[in-house]
Amino acid sequence: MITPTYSLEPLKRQLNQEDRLHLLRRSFFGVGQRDVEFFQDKSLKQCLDILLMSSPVASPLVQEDSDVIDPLVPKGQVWANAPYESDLINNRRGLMLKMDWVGAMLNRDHSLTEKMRLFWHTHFVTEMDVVKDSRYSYRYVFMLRDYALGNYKKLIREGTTNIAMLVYLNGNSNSKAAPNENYARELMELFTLGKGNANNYTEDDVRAGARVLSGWKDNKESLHVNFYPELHDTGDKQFSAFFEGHSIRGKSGENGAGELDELIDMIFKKTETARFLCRNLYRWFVCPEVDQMIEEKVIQPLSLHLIAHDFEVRPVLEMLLGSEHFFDKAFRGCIVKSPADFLLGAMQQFDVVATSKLDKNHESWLQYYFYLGDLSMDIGNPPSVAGWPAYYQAPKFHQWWINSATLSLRAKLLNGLSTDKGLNFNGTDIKFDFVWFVSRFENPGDVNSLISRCTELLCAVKISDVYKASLKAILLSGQQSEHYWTEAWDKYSKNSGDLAARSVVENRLRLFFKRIIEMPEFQML
Amino acid sequence: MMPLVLDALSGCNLAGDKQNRILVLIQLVGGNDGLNTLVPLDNYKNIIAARPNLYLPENKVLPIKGVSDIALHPVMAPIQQLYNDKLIGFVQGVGYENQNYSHFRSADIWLTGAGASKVLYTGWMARFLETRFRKYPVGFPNAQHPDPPAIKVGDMGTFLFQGTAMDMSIVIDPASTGFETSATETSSDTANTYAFEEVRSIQEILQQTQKYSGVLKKALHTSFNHSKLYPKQGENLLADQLKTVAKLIKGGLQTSVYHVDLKGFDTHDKQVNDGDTTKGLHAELLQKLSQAIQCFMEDMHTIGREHDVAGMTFSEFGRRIKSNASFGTDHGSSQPMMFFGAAVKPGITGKSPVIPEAVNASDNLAWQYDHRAIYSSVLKQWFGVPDGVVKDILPGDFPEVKIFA
Repeated sequence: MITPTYSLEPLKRQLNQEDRLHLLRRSFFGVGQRDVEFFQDKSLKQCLDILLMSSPVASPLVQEDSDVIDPLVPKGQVWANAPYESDLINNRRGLMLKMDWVGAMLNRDHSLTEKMRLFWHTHFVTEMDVVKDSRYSYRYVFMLRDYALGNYKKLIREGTTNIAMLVYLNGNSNSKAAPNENYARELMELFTLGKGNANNYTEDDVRAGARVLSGWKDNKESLHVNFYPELHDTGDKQFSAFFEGHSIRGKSGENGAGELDELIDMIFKKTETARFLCRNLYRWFVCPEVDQMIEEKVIQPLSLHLIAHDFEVRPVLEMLLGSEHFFDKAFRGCIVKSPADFLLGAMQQFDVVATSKLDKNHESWLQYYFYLGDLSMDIGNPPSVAGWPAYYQAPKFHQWWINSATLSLRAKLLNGLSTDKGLNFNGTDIKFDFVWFVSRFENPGDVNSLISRCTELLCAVKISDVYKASLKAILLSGQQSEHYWTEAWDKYSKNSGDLAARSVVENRLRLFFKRIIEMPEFQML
Repeated sequence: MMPLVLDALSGCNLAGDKQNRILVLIQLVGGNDGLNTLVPLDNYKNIIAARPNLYLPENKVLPIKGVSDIALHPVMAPIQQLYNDKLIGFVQGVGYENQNYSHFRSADIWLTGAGASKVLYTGWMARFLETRFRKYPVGFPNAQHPDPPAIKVGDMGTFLFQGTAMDMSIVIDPASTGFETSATETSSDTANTYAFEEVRSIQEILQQTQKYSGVLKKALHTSFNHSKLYPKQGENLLADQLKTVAKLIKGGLQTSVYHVDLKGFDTHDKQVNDGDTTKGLHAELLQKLSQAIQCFMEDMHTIGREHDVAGMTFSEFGRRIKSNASFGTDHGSSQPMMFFGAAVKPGITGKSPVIPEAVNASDNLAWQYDHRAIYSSVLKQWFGVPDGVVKDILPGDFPEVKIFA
């Protein structure tokens, strides 16, 4: 029986290195040496302030160089408001949108913005393939970024009439004559209240909700979303006992559009909504297991905090990520890395981002997008409106990312990056430089210190002595005496231009890191 | 029309050792509109009234032999052929009491073989497999069971194969080129942390994958002159998956259960095209389904396995009787299941769904057979599972349905 502390009181003790790495791993897609150095001497409060800072407003995406020439939007100009033009142009825009998103995840600042943007994406889903119009999806993707560390209720309100969402869940074909329940259902089931409550909303509530939401349409030319009173169901909408028998008075004319705000208010009055969000945040940041104790002692107080702050997410994150509970040892390394954590994380961990190999060629970011898709995380296209199963499918949760196919591919990708040839990412050759990686430690020639430092940095879960021994055997090529490694390292560091000397250490380091990468422990956050 | 001549009347339809039998489960993800798949023609005017913008024209649906008031969606010609060759059986109205309209909950109900109010954490197929692979993964593979208990072809695992201890399937991506993983060692002492179990689970997957990688590689690299009717890779994802299944079966894999799927059935809008209801999203999906099954059956015939390989389709629910204004339908309740293979009892079991004259937007079809009745029947008839064991796997009293001849 694991019994962590349930206290949400701020952590009293000083952060040690393990604590810091734990916080950073959960906050970012991958922690690099630069991050470690940046947060090295900061207190918990300082760390949280930085993590919760607003990122600067994103500049609008502009046309990039491409084989696909857009006759109406030259390079450097904004395309989000241009006409649709053609499927070919639209597809290219979709790729540019994905490219930018993955690029932002890689070149992130020190805030939680990108991690939260992805959180919203899996909890308030649209799928680009279904929405089709990239100009629409643009408005969804950037809405998520705007609200990343913002207000949950406002996000839901805005998302309800977001142009991409109107298409995705048929809000744009929901009329009085023939109501379409799709959005109303998913709004309650997946975006706010959830299905698991002992006392819950009813099918009739879904139908009534659909009637409230009737009358909206998207306009492909103006890219506006408009309310059509003549399509709106103006009858009164009666809700069940779950909603205290609330009735939304039907309104005719333009006032009908306001019924939607009443619906959102009604839904957010239910504490189930706050708990639902807090539970999802908990699974995302802390642990997939939410038993009765966690529900009572952690989720419930968090939800009250969320309500007290009018659904601003920052205070909840501050409370959760700064708490005694979060820093309890029980939770170290208990989340399986998502594909983003794994692949983009590896780019941070092994300094690919730091050494700016990505900056010049934006097209290379697209290759990350494709690999993430192969690993089951198609950014922009979760498998369904429920998001990625890792975040809701009991009892596996994050284990969902791992099966024989994806595990093999994870190993294959990183192993490919660990070779001399490396991998080509759409025009940019990328490979890990392990010699550079270890050269920044205090004493790379000391085999034991090297193993400790590497495993501490790279593995959220402690490695067994058996593994440590096998790592040592690799560095020593099966010899017993530690001085073999020290000698080899010294020889290289005295003359880094000596290719033979470099290859001696590099070959061993490649095997060394291959072993680490293939450990189950490396898959954990 | 494909010139498929199968000896379906050989008389020994349940030929072969029950141990060699294979079942392929095809999940139609999203909720399949049964009414436009297996079309009930009696009282068709009621369907027309309920779905004026969605019904299939009576002169376009495909008649099937021996039945005058049921027909198939116009794109299902390959299924029509197979049906007329007595290789297809349908069961009408499969669902359950207290229909749940959530994709995820209803899919779980189907995959775990539960009732609407029960939450189970293992797949019904996994529970069956656990009776053959006791204490899996400990002791497996072995001489008697050299191959994985189940195989999921696709990019994600399925709840269907989630066992008590672990996922009982190996997941194979049709584009997969094999399984290269290195040996694992005992993990760390992280007892008393949540990480311990997580790491252990990954460890097991690594170990199992590695244990089966040899047999899987060999089977995947078997040469096979597949049916020429398969489309290009990537054009029909279900056909790609079934092609992989065919290859593994030809390669001699003794795995008895496969899961494949076709996504996209949640046709809230554009289920049919405005102006031509025989076309649209549903038509595209049914065409892919039909083509994939046709190719797969031809492959099974080529390797002489049509008598001990059978398939079934299922979905988390059917769709609403009444259509909506977007040429689509909302979530519904019961639906027909399709079984294919030479050992399947050909024909249609169960009554046609009854459509009342006046249908409103919240009306749904009644169910005739609980999905667990179908599962129990499959376990008993196909895999020879004794009644007592069937009841352990699927607690409850369910009538037997004759699915296999």
